[in-house]
Amino acid sequence: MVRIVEVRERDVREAPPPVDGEYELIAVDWEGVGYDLSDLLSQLEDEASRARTED
Amino acid sequence: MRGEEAGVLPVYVELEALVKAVRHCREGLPYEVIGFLIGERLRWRDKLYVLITDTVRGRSVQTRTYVEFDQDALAEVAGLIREEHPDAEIVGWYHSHPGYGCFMSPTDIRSHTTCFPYPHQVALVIDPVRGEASFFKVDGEGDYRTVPSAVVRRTRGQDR
Ligand SMILES: [Zn+2]
Repeated sequence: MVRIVEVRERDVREAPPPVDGEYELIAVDWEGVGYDLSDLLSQLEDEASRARTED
Repeated sequence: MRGEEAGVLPVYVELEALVKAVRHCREGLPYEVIGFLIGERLRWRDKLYVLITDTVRGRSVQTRTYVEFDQDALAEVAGLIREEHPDAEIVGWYHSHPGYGCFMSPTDIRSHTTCFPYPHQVALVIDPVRGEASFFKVDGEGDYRTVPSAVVRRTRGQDR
Protein backbone atom coordinates (compact mmCIF):
# COMPACT_ATOMS: atom_id res chain seq x y z
CA MET A 1 0.00 0.00 0.00
CA VAL A 2 2.61 2.49 1.04
CA ARG A 3 4.53 1.85 -2.16
CA ILE A 4 1.56 2.61 -4.42
CA VAL A 5 2.10 6.32 -4.54
CA GLU A 6 5.82 6.18 -4.83
CA VAL A 7 7.85 9.18 -5.82
CA ARG A 8 10.61 8.61 -8.32
CA GLU A 9 13.97 10.03 -7.46
CA ARG A 10 14.85 12.67 -10.00
CA ASP A 11 16.04 16.18 -10.35
CA VAL A 12 13.53 18.82 -9.45
CA ARG A 13 12.94 21.12 -12.39
CA GLU A 14 13.77 24.81 -12.05
CA ALA A 15 10.86 27.15 -12.83
CA PRO A 16 9.53 30.44 -11.46
CA PRO A 17 6.31 30.24 -9.43
CA PRO A 18 3.28 30.40 -11.76
CA VAL A 19 2.14 33.90 -10.88
CA ASP A 20 2.85 35.83 -14.06
CA GLY A 21 3.97 35.24 -17.63
CA GLU A 22 2.11 32.12 -18.69
CA TYR A 23 -0.08 32.30 -15.61
CA GLU A 24 -2.30 34.72 -13.79
CA LEU A 25 -3.03 34.64 -10.10
CA ILE A 26 -6.72 34.02 -9.36
CA ALA A 27 -6.82 33.68 -5.58
CA VAL A 28 -4.35 33.26 -2.72
CA ASP A 29 -4.54 31.59 0.65
CA TRP A 30 -1.14 32.26 2.19
CA GLU A 31 -2.60 32.22 5.69
CA GLY A 32 -4.26 28.84 5.23
CA VAL A 33 -7.78 30.05 6.01
CA GLY A 34 -9.26 28.30 2.96
CA TYR A 35 -11.06 29.37 -0.21
CA ASP A 36 -14.59 30.55 -0.82
CA LEU A 37 -15.46 28.41 -3.81
CA SER A 38 -18.64 30.29 -4.67
CA ASP A 39 -16.49 33.31 -5.60
CA LEU A 40 -14.26 31.22 -7.85
CA LEU A 41 -17.10 29.31 -9.47
CA SER A 42 -19.35 32.29 -10.11
CA GLN A 43 -16.41 34.03 -11.75
CA LEU A 44 -16.04 31.03 -14.05
CA GLU A 45 -19.75 30.83 -14.78
CA ASP A 46 -19.81 34.53 -15.70
CA GLU A 47 -16.97 33.95 -18.13
CA ALA A 48 -18.66 30.88 -19.60
CA SER A 49 -21.97 32.68 -20.15
CA ARG A 50 -20.16 35.66 -21.64
CA ALA A 51 -18.37 33.30 -24.01
CA ARG A 52 -21.73 31.75 -24.96
CA THR A 53 -23.30 35.16 -25.64
CA GLU A 54 -20.40 36.14 -27.85
CA ASP A 55 -20.87 33.02 -30.03
CA MET B 1 4.19 33.28 6.94
CA ARG B 2 4.31 32.79 3.21
CA GLY B 3 5.15 29.12 3.13
CA GLU B 4 8.84 29.73 3.08
CA GLU B 5 9.69 28.26 6.45
CA ALA B 6 11.32 24.85 6.48
CA GLY B 7 9.09 21.94 5.61
CA VAL B 8 6.07 23.85 4.33
CA LEU B 9 6.11 24.03 0.58
CA PRO B 10 3.62 26.44 -0.91
CA VAL B 11 1.12 24.90 -3.30
CA TYR B 12 -0.10 26.42 -6.56
CA VAL B 13 -3.15 24.83 -8.11
CA GLU B 14 -4.39 25.45 -11.63
CA LEU B 15 -7.97 26.69 -11.58
CA GLU B 16 -9.16 24.01 -14.01
CA ALA B 17 -7.74 21.27 -11.83
CA LEU B 18 -9.45 22.70 -8.76
CA VAL B 19 -12.76 23.15 -10.56
CA LYS B 20 -12.60 19.56 -11.81
CA ALA B 21 -12.23 18.32 -8.22
CA VAL B 22 -15.02 20.60 -6.97
CA ARG B 23 -17.38 19.29 -9.70
CA HIS B 24 -16.55 15.73 -8.66
CA CYS B 25 -17.36 16.59 -5.04
CA ARG B 26 -20.68 18.20 -6.06
CA GLU B 27 -21.70 15.26 -8.25
CA GLY B 28 -20.98 12.89 -5.38
CA LEU B 29 -23.41 14.55 -2.98
CA PRO B 30 -24.56 13.54 -0.44
CA TYR B 31 -21.60 11.21 -0.26
CA GLU B 32 -17.92 11.85 0.20
CA VAL B 33 -15.71 11.35 -2.84
CA ILE B 34 -11.97 10.99 -3.19
CA GLY B 35 -9.38 11.67 -5.89
CA PHE B 36 -5.74 12.42 -6.65
CA LEU B 37 -3.79 15.63 -7.13
CA ILE B 38 -1.42 15.45 -10.09
CA GLY B 39 1.47 17.81 -10.55
CA GLU B 40 5.11 18.47 -10.03
CA ARG B 41 7.61 19.59 -7.42
CA LEU B 42 9.53 22.58 -8.73
CA ARG B 43 12.38 24.72 -7.52
CA TRP B 44 12.99 28.44 -7.84
CA ARG B 45 15.87 30.31 -6.18
CA ASP B 46 16.55 27.37 -3.85
CA LYS B 47 12.94 27.20 -2.73
CA LEU B 48 10.71 24.28 -3.49
CA TYR B 49 7.03 24.50 -4.31
CA VAL B 50 4.33 22.24 -5.70
CA LEU B 51 2.24 22.91 -8.81
CA ILE B 52 -1.00 20.95 -9.21
CA THR B 53 -1.98 20.71 -12.87
CA ASP B 54 -4.73 18.08 -12.85
CA THR B 55 -6.98 16.04 -10.62
CA VAL B 56 -8.10 12.46 -11.18
CA ARG B 57 -11.14 10.82 -9.69
CA GLY B 58 -10.54 7.86 -7.45
CA ARG B 59 -12.89 5.11 -6.47
CA SER B 60 -13.55 4.75 -2.80
CA VAL B 61 -15.66 3.10 -0.21
CA GLN B 62 -18.40 5.65 0.25
CA THR B 63 -20.64 6.29 3.16
CA ARG B 64 -22.34 9.49 4.07
CA THR B 65 -19.92 10.24 6.85
CA TYR B 66 -16.52 8.99 5.90
CA VAL B 67 -14.45 7.96 2.94
CA GLU B 68 -11.80 5.29 2.79
CA PHE B 69 -9.35 4.26 0.17
CA ASP B 70 -10.24 1.14 -1.74
CA GLN B 71 -6.64 0.01 -1.91
CA ASP B 72 -6.94 -2.01 -5.14
CA ALA B 73 -8.70 0.88 -6.83
CA LEU B 74 -6.02 3.24 -5.58
CA ALA B 75 -3.30 1.06 -7.09
CA GLU B 76 -5.20 0.89 -10.37
CA VAL B 77 -5.69 4.64 -10.60
CA ALA B 78 -2.07 5.27 -9.63
CA GLY B 79 -1.01 2.93 -12.48
CA LEU B 80 -3.21 4.79 -14.97
CA ILE B 81 -1.79 8.11 -13.86
CA ARG B 82 1.74 6.86 -14.40
CA GLU B 83 0.79 5.76 -17.93
CA GLU B 84 -1.13 8.88 -18.89
CA HIS B 85 1.02 11.48 -17.17
CA PRO B 86 4.55 10.06 -17.29
CA ASP B 87 6.07 13.40 -16.23
CA ALA B 88 3.65 14.05 -13.45
CA GLU B 89 3.64 12.90 -9.90
CA ILE B 90 0.83 12.21 -7.52
CA VAL B 91 1.41 15.14 -5.21
CA GLY B 92 -1.49 14.37 -2.92
CA TRP B 93 -5.20 13.64 -2.72
CA TYR B 94 -8.52 15.37 -2.32
CA HIS B 95 -11.78 14.38 -0.74
CA SER B 96 -15.06 16.01 0.19
CA HIS B 97 -16.66 16.84 3.52
CA PRO B 98 -20.23 17.53 2.43
CA GLY B 99 -21.61 20.15 4.78
CA TYR B 100 -19.23 19.78 7.72
CA GLY B 101 -16.32 22.02 6.84
CA CYS B 102 -12.67 21.59 5.98
CA PHE B 103 -10.38 19.82 8.45
CA MET B 104 -8.53 16.51 8.72
CA SER B 105 -10.31 13.78 10.68
CA PRO B 106 -8.34 11.04 12.49
CA THR B 107 -9.17 8.72 9.55
CA ASP B 108 -7.93 11.34 7.07
CA ILE B 109 -4.69 11.74 9.01
CA ARG B 110 -4.17 7.97 9.06
CA SER B 111 -4.83 7.67 5.31
CA HIS B 112 -2.53 10.57 4.56
CA THR B 113 0.33 9.26 6.68
CA THR B 114 0.04 5.80 5.14
CA CYS B 115 -0.50 6.66 1.49
CA PHE B 116 1.18 10.04 1.10
CA PRO B 117 4.25 9.97 3.33
CA TYR B 118 6.41 12.39 1.35
CA PRO B 119 6.82 15.85 2.85
CA HIS B 120 5.58 17.65 -0.27
CA GLN B 121 2.36 15.64 -0.53
CA VAL B 122 -0.77 17.51 0.48
CA ALA B 123 -4.43 16.86 1.18
CA LEU B 124 -7.14 19.08 -0.30
CA VAL B 125 -10.43 19.00 1.58
CA ILE B 126 -13.48 20.39 -0.22
CA ASP B 127 -16.88 21.10 1.30
CA PRO B 128 -19.17 21.35 -1.74
CA VAL B 129 -22.16 22.33 0.41
CA ARG B 130 -20.55 25.26 2.22
CA GLY B 131 -18.41 26.04 -0.83
CA GLU B 132 -15.09 25.90 1.00
CA ALA B 133 -11.72 24.32 0.28
CA SER B 134 -8.39 24.08 2.16
CA PHE B 135 -5.02 22.44 1.72
CA PHE B 136 -3.47 20.48 4.58
CA LYS B 137 -0.45 18.44 5.42
CA VAL B 138 0.35 16.09 8.27
CA ASP B 139 3.58 16.26 10.27
CA GLY B 140 5.56 13.42 11.80
CA GLU B 141 3.59 13.62 15.06
CA GLY B 142 0.30 13.10 13.23
CA ASP B 143 -0.78 16.71 13.66
CA TYR B 144 -2.19 18.47 10.64
CA ARG B 145 -1.77 22.06 9.58
CA THR B 146 -2.92 24.21 6.71
CA VAL B 147 -0.67 24.78 3.71
CA PRO B 148 -0.24 28.19 2.08
CA SER B 149 -1.56 28.03 -1.47
CA ALA B 150 -2.66 29.97 -4.50
CA VAL B 151 -5.03 29.34 -7.40
CA VAL B 152 -3.58 30.22 -10.79
CA ARG B 153 -4.74 30.10 -14.37
CA ARG B 154 -2.77 29.41 -17.49
CA THR B 155 -3.11 32.32 -19.89
CA ARG B 156 -0.80 31.21 -22.68
CA GLY B 157 0.41 27.98 -24.18
CA GLN B 158 -3.01 26.47 -23.86
CA ASP B 159 -4.76 25.05 -26.89
CA ARG B 160 -8.08 24.14 -25.34
ZN1 LIG C 1 -12.16 13.69 5.66
